[in-house]
Amino acid sequence: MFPSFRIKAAFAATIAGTLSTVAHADDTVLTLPEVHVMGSGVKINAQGSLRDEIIKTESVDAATIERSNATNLTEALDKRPGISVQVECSVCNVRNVTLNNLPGRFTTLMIDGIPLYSSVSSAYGLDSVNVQGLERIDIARGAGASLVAPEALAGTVNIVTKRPTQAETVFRGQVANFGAFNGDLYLARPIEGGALSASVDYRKHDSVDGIGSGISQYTGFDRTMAGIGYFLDDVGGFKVRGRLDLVNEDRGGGPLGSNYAAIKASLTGNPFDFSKGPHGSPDPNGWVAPDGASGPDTLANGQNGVLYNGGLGGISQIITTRREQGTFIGERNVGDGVLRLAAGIAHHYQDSFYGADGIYTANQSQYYLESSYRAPWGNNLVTVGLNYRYEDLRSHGIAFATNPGLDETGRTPNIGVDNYTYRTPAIFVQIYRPVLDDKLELNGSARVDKHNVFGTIVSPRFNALYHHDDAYASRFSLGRGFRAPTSFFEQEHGILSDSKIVRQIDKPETSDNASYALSFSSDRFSWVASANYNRIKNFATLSSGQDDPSGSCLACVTIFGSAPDPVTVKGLDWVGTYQATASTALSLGLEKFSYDFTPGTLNFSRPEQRVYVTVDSNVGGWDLTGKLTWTGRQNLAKFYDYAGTQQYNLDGTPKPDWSPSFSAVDVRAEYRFDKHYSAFFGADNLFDYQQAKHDSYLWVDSAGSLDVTHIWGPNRGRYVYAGVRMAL
Amino acid sequence: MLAVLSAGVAAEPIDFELPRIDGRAFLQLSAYRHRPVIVNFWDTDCPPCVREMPVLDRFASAHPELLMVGVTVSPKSQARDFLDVHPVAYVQLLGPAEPRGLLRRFGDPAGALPHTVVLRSGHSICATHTGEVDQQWLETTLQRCLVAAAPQASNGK
Repeated sequence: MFPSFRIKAAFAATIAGTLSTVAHADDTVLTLPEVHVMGSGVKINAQGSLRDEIIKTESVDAATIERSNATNLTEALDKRPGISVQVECSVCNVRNVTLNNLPGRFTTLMIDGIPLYSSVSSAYGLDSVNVQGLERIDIARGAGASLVAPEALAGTVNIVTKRPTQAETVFRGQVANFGAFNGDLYLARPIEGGALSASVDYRKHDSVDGIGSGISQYTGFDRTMAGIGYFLDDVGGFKVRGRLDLVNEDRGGGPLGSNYAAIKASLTGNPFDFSKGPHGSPDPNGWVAPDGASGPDTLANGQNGVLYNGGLGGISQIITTRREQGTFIGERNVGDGVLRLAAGIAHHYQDSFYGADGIYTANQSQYYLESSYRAPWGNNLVTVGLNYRYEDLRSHGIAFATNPGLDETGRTPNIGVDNYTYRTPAIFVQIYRPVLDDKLELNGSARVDKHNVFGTIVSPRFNALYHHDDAYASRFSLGRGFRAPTSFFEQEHGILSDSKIVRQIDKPETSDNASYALSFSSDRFSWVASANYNRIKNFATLSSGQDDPSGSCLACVTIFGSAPDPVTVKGLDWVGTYQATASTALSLGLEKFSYDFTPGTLNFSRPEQRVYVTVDSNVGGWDLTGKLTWTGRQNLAKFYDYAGTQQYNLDGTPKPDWSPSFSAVDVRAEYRFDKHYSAFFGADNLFDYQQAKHDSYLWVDSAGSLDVTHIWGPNRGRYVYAGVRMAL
Repeated sequence: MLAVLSAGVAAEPIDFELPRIDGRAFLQLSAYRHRPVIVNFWDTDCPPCVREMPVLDRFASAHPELLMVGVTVSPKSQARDFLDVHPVAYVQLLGPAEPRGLLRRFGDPAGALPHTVVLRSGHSICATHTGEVDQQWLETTLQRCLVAAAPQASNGK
């Protein structure tokens, strides 16, 4: 019996660019011509469509990224069903990519299939992932979506570098309000036996305050990203590709402006106006202590409260990021199969000034090695492999809370309180088998990791794809993943409130995931309906201000532990695209989620419903895009655990239990003068919906302690931009 | 070189309705039922797809009796940019958002590209070929399909 065509085609895809041979049972040889196979090289260009892989994989292609005006990963992925970008701090704008509305730390970012982002780099680093020179971004939701990244409890985001097929020089320049400027240059050159690409991107944006308080809601930044891609067709028989990337970013939030030295030096007085915005304080120089007794000061109206005296620096968060990373992937035919070697290296440095909280610097190193072999075996396609992952964090900080005042003299530094080193060798195997004349495709995999802290962990995964007919297909997945918790991420991005972390955690976080997707496709209409179930056990938590179990001090340590009850997130979504006319496509996306969790686990607000409507049209030389995103009410009382710590406005009134629903509209138009030159303009958040005009990001507890994490809506108003694109 | 086998190829008339790449109109394949048609599925990032396009273009020019149609599975703007640099004279259409079903109907269940389908007048499938085509295959196959009386589909050998 001949191996299934699907196996041969999938095999050929692995080594596209060469001829492949597949031995038959009768020893005849069928030569496959050079082909590209859907699922390995095809980009899908609309919502409601899937890459044809057995694991449900949504793709965002380069053209879609450009139409969204995205310049980095977080902008490219935001506002898509089942995928969102969550801001966790109004002053520093830490952004996570959340899949199925699970915490961002459960999303694993991969560069051409190599996982090189973790705790520190996933905090501020995701804003610095360049999208120039990409072929597409693949998103696979669900635990175990990647054979090599078991920690992806929510799923993976894989950035696929474009291999140049022709010489290109593309420049794009853009200006916008809020002092924003973006310029990027992409060069691509095929060379003898391969291709090279290079990209440079510079971007700056002022910090933004939409209500006149002097405290930003949108963090300003100055960011430079550079990358080189290389592709060599024959290096000792190996087909090689990889990339090198550099990132240099300074960002600052809280006070406006980018004179960070002056901000850090301003440590007394009140340059802000706390009376601005909804439920602002009765006194511009401070805020109410809601319990009426805890505040040390008397406000201008006679109420008990807190008068601010920390200067510009007291509410500032200034973060410097430097990152270098490199990847290598080599593949060659060995026998009937393909040998794959992969390696990755990343160094990530963060230097943070967290205003009144402290300072924190961290060095993170990650190394990745993989060797795998993939070959037909009867009517199966079998992959076996080994990989080794190394991850190391070394930090240094000072927690001002335990060292009152802002003068560092005489303080005890926090050296390495959240340090960790994880070494994880693993073995994995995957078997793929089509049955029923290729109508049903089955894929089972398992990996065994030997973690240096958490021991041996087995992660199984099963996927099935059934083609009902040419139009309908069903996908079912069942899997488990694990993640070794890192104290950095759960420690509010390194904002150390205590000088000691007591580790009371002996199990990794594990996730059980089940999902089903039904897809339909015709010439003009396609849709996908999905159901997801995710249950995370041993959810890592950090509780600051706890008594030291050794009895050495009271309310002085952070306990690093596990939640006793699992966190469960269930989701339904439907996404469809209809080619209404030859020039216009309409897309509709609906999603609904439900959450079951204990306080202290899902710490940031999440919506239960979202609706997405997109119109793409090409008229004459115009490319027009419009997108409406409606976000339903969010249960703030539940997510922010009002029962444990009620959140109050600065005037002492309680924060609302529910956020209002809101909509945001993005529009963009691009006109092509000819094949070389085009101009574009657009607006994000066209109708200027800002959370700060309805509900401040700032909140105080009953004693009047201030925080900046009451977040549920857009933190930047209307963003209007215009630019040019030149392709030579 | 042998062509890749095609499973489940339909012998009955086959049709699609896809927008032209310039966005001006849909093309309904059945509107050209009186003519033989060659449908070529391609992608900008598929080297053999790119290599065979000049061959297809010359063949289409030399055979005005047939309709040559390219169907790209690339995003519209990407395909349009590509065709600006590598223009061809034959009709170019934009594949559906999820092109796999269309490819299956046209004898390419694995979605391998490039994929070329020759339709007799009447639009039953006469031959399919997955992988790069050359002038000889096009000439031989077209002649065979034009004279063939039997409706059975071949596998492109």
